[in-house]
Amino acid sequence: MTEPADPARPAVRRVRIERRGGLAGLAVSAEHDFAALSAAQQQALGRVIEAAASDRSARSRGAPPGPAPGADRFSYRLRVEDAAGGEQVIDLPEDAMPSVLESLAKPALP
Amino acid sequence: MSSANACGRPSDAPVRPYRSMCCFIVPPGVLKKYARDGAIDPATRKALQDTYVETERLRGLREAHRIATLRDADRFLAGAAVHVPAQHLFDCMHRKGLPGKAVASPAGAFKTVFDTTAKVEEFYKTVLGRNSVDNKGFDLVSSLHYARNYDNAFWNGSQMVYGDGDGKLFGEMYLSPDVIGHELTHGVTQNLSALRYEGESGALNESISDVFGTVFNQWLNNWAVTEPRGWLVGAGIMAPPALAKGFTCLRDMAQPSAKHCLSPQPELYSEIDPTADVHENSGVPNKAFATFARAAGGQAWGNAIKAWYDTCINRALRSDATFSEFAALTIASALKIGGAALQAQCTSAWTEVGVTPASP
Repeated sequence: MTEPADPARPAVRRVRIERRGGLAGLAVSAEHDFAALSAAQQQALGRVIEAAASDRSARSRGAPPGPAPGADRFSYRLRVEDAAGGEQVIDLPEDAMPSVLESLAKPALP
Repeated sequence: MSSANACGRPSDAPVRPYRSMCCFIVPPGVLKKYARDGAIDPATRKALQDTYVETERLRGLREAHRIATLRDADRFLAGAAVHVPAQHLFDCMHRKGLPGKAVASPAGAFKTVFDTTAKVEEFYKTVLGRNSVDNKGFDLVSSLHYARNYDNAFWNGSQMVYGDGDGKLFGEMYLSPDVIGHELTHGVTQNLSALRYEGESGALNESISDVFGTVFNQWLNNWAVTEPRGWLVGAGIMAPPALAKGFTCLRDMAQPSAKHCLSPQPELYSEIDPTADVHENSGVPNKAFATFARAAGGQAWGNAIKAWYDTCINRALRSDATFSEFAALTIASALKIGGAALQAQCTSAWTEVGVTPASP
């Protein structure tokens, strides 16, 4: 499965993953072509997009988004670009970020 | 075969504490009076006298029991007031589930975390008079080996969690004592001002963890404020490739923008980006504290940290505090802790980083 379940949603072309936070506070940003992702990463991204659509629906009914509790947690922002040129921005607390996608935004030594 | 006592309880059954439930319908004074009344026949007077003697014996027992119970209650209450926090260690075995598998006998990495966490607890108790994160002896929970190549340590709202690093930037995150002090201090802040984790209040939350983490490390190593290593955050977690490139720490509170910091920070209030990560803007209050402590001289765990702690426990410190409001509170605390000279050093430190204290 490489596409979101909703047939009306355009295919994903690229994704930019930004990571913030952590004890070090090192900001990381990396861009990836959807086609270059592994099957597991494509599936995980599809699930995140589906969950975000569901979450937006929940929020429109008044449910607030929940950040990860505590301090020094990572937080992620996914910018998903579709084939029609549209962009969807998804904010994820660390606990909601699939492990297979975390490796797409790892810091490197300057 | 077990025997039974007068109450019908087997004599080898566990003895449970109980309260005496003796009550008297005829008051002992009345028994005593009639036991001596010559108008009453001798047999009845003897019975009344025996009852009086038995009543007095039971009264003595009841009083002894009452005193013993009170002593026990005092001991119980005293014990509750000085409850010593226990430590609980867990092994995540490179998975993400928390807390992980309980570790019964800490050895190796677990022993290091156990010992350093105990020292942080001792620092808070002996230097600041605080009993654990909530000042009520909250048990301290630490989980190690969280996830794989996890380059972070965090406080999740109820416990500390340490990754083993990726081996390129960071090694095991518990190897810097200041990091353990940093994470535990997030628990302290959560129980006090609960500074909101965004904007200036979030940067203050982070700075307070850096301040108490580094001063704990200085106390642990008996370093004076003049020791440059005492102001480094995360010096012990840097992996060999990072060290080879000249990165000796995550942050340096005395020089937040220095090149040896893997995560350099702005040093002046005018240079901060209000939308930046809380770990970036914490450089301003970090430098204010380091400047203040170095001006005060001696050891930072003297008046300098006591002034900062006095502000942290001040109910006037709101969860949405700004740098300016925090600065004003620390200046008032410095006056209270060390008089006019310490107050002047604190005021000067905030001026140096470009923060104007809020008007009272």
